[in-house]
Amino acid sequence: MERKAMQRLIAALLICGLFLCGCGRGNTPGSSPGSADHTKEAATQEAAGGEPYTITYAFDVWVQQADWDLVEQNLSDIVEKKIGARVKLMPMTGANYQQQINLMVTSKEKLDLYNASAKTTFSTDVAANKILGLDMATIEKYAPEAMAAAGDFLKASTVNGKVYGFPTLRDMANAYGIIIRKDIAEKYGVDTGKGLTVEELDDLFMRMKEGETDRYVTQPQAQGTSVLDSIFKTYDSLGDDMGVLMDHGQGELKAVNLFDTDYYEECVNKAREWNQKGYILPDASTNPDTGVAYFKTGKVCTTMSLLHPGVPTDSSNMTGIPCDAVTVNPAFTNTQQVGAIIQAIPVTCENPEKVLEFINLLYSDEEVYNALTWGIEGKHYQHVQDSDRWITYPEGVTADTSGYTLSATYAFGNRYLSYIWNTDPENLNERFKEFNDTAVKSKALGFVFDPTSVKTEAAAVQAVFDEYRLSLENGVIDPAENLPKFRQALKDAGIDTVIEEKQRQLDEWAAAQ
Amino acid sequence: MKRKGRTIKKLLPLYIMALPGLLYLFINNYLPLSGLVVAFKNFDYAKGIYHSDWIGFKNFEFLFKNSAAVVITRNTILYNLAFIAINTVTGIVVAILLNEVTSRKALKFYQTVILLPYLFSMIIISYLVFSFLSTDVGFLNKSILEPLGKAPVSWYNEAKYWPAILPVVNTWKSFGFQAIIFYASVISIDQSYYEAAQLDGAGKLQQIFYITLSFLKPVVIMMTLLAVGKIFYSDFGLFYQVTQNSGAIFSTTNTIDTYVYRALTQMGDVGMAAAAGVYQSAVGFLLVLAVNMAVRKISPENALF
Amino acid sequence: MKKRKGNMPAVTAHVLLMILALFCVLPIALLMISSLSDNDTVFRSGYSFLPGKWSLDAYKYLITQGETIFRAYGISIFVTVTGTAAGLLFTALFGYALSRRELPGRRVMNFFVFFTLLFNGGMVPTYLMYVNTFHIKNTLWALLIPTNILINGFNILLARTFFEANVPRELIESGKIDGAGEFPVFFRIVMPISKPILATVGLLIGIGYWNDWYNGLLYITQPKLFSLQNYLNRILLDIQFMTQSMSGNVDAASALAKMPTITVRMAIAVTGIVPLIVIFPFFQKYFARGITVGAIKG
Repeated sequence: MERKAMQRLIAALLICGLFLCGCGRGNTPGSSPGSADHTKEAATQEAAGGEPYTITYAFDVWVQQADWDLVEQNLSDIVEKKIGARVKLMPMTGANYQQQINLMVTSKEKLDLYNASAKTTFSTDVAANKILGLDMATIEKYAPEAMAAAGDFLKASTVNGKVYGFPTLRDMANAYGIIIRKDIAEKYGVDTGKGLTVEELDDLFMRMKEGETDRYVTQPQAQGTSVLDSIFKTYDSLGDDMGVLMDHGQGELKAVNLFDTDYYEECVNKAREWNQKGYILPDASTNPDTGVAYFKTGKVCTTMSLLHPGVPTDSSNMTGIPCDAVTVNPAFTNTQQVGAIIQAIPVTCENPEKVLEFINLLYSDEEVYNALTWGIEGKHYQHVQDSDRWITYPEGVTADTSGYTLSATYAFGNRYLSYIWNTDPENLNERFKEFNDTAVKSKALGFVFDPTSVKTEAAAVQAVFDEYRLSLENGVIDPAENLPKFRQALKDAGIDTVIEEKQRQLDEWAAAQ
Repeated sequence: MKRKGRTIKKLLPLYIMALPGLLYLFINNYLPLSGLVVAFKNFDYAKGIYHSDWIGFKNFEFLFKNSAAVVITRNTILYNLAFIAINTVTGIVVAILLNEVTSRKALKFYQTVILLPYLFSMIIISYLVFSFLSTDVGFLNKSILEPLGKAPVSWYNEAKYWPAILPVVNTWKSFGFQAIIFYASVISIDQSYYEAAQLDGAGKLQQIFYITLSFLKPVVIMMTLLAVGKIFYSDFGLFYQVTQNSGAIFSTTNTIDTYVYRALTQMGDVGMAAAAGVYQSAVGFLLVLAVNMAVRKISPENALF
Repeated sequence: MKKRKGNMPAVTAHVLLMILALFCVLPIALLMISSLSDNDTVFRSGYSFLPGKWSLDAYKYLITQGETIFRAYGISIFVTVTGTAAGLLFTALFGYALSRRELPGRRVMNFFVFFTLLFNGGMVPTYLMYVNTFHIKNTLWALLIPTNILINGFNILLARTFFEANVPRELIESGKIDGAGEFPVFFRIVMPISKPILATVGLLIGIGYWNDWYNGLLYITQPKLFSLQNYLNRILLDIQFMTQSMSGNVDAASALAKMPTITVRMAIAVTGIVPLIVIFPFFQKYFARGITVGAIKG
């Protein structure tokens, strides 16, 4: 009797599942919500004098700001005057951001704009239809100034002729080198303006090791980063490091296996040498305090790091220790760096046109940009006398008492519109522009790899990366013994299949250019 | 037929007692089950879970087509077996020890203290472990090995230590919890059994063996069965955060959960993540069915269902 | 009961338990001491039970994060108390019903409960149901209902097993002979002799609620509704997020320069568990042995 009942229960469960599938079918309209009719309707409704459309904007930043509500109110008032829409800000913490966005889009919750990243899942988001693809004509109509400001960088978010969002204009390239304490730089006669070769750096590290007995010579920029990606990187990762373009992507468009190259071998050997000589903070790859926290205590002389014009001030501000930056590897850029932050419209957005108008403001309107980045004038910042660029705290406000110290100039629109905090040089924006314009650009800039068709292999290779890369690239394990193992493991995991597929997509992309 | 109707009517209050729980589990756990189909689909946000295209078992392939498959399966199972054994034994021993303590104050103290570690989340525990094992500033290297004149150990790069470290951390966190559960059963044993045994001249150990353990048997069997069901799962926090995701020690710390997480961080594939869950649950489920069947044969009253 | 025959067992028990207690307490002591140490000193001379320099900086930092932390305490307390009361009642009732061997369909129900421990629909479908059908996003319900803290298969089976083994059938029968219905029997006879298991399950549910951050992570986006764990977790994640890179494009974030990273982490842990330690004795009095079945019968 009981057995029969059990069978019945299982049958009931199955039916229940089917029933739900049916329900799901009923609930989902056939067309995707971003379709043209739908949005036109919303737009006309509003033109007829209804409630202003509210743009819900999600992004991941340092969220501890007491005055989010005030800033949102102020921003909305400004935006409403200009385009008749209000803005709802949804700042989120990095760790659960991606997940929350996925859930919101899946459940069709209200979300109109969010910051995606080519460094994480942008390419798979596009492939899985999470982001609304817009045609050039629409963009030209609703966001012409943003289009002009982004210029060629828009390629990084364009896939098969459709635009999947706008890369924010910030540090669009990375130089590589070290952040060094000012006092140490002086002591060892480092000319910070000139840059160093690897040999000179080697020599500097040696002298510091002898001279600074109570400090570590150097560390990678954070837990989970390596000497290789902080200082030696000269290849275009083409998304996931599986099949890359060597030499800053200046040669032919041929994806090669990075880990089989002599370049890679030299890099890991150098990292090993530095580690053996005791230059690098022990356990740097696994220590959660590697980076800012260590530097702050004065226990390390330098940090190997990505560099851009704002770095000396940023790192001085973050650590409370006067710092300077020295370039080892000049500025270089590719799709992932340009697309590090892409303001994207999810497929569930009901009024993409209005959102485009808002994006347009973030790229062209100083008032809107600064209201989001710096807050309210007189409350969170004020202009330094005789300067229309420089700002600082208002009278009586300090870092501790200010309700809005976000200053995430990288996260929204166009940083060239930004006011400059008076700890930075007044011409910082021009410096950024020059930095971005003169950076070496990979020939594959704009190529976005979609791993969906080889996802089994890509997943396996990724897992092999996690096992070997950090330890090899920080010199923790011996390359003589482990590099061959690593190479074999990659082959077993199917890296060649991924590279093959990437080459195919790359050829296709090149042909379409 | 009539008699059956009467029984049911008489037992109706019992069904009413079960109702809130049944209803909750039905809504919270059974209704969303149909979402498991996503494991067999190529997930598309515009189409939603139920309308995405079927791709068969493609999402499952990455679990088997990789060189780590053997290591992660081995690690997951071995650690789980070790945890089950250690937790059960320490739990029972501590419960019995607590039962021997007569001073109320002492009892309160022990109960509180052994349960404290259970209150910490794994992320906090990972920092706590780090404060002991850090090469640079850790307690072990700095305050124990250094004064002894021994060279510091790079704990996070030496795979050989972790088969000891992980069980210690896991035991630290969960033995108190296990012990309290067993203790609740131990103190509910009717004291007259012990008195009768004493009259018969049974020693302490005999009492423990014949009375205490036999009363603990049902709950021990139940907890073990449930643990067997989870044998393909591992505590992500323990194996990922506590090890600081250190690649050099994967050979002894990589489990199915951490592998899946690492393999998917870059792609964030919803279907593949679901596939991993289905695989882990299905294996556990079959195991429990088998074990439960065996238990049913041997002592039917202790079977789970 | 067992006073005579020397004290050997009791002494052995004390020695062993003392060792275990130290094993539990020492790491926690290190954590508490670290939270009260000076951040730079920890970096210089390592984690130690005798820090070179004491400091309250970490706690000061947590307090200056605004009044949110007190609200978060309030929400956590409310959710824990309500959830534990309701969860305990439903779990005990269900477990008791399942423990009655004469109940038809019992085996099916046991299986029904067990199944939930292994399979669930996964995060996405569950989220869809709660958000689209029940609309619990950004409500207190979201902290109470999802993810099986309220009613959990494990707790039900635990209670069931306990009732089966420790509540004698004759007791129930004698209650019914006296003319009492199932509910009165449960509340007047079964519950009083089952205090240890009720306390255990209550404790498990309570800890579950107090330590839960997953519900908040998924269903709460308004900081006003953050539970304590969500709040502390967010600070922890923010620290990680901000220390990822020294080239982080933060022109004026001097807050970070002042934050004592290591000690704040430890202070967060302490802040989270102190209330639990405070209420713990309340549960403990139910872990009392003593009421023997014979006493009730007599």
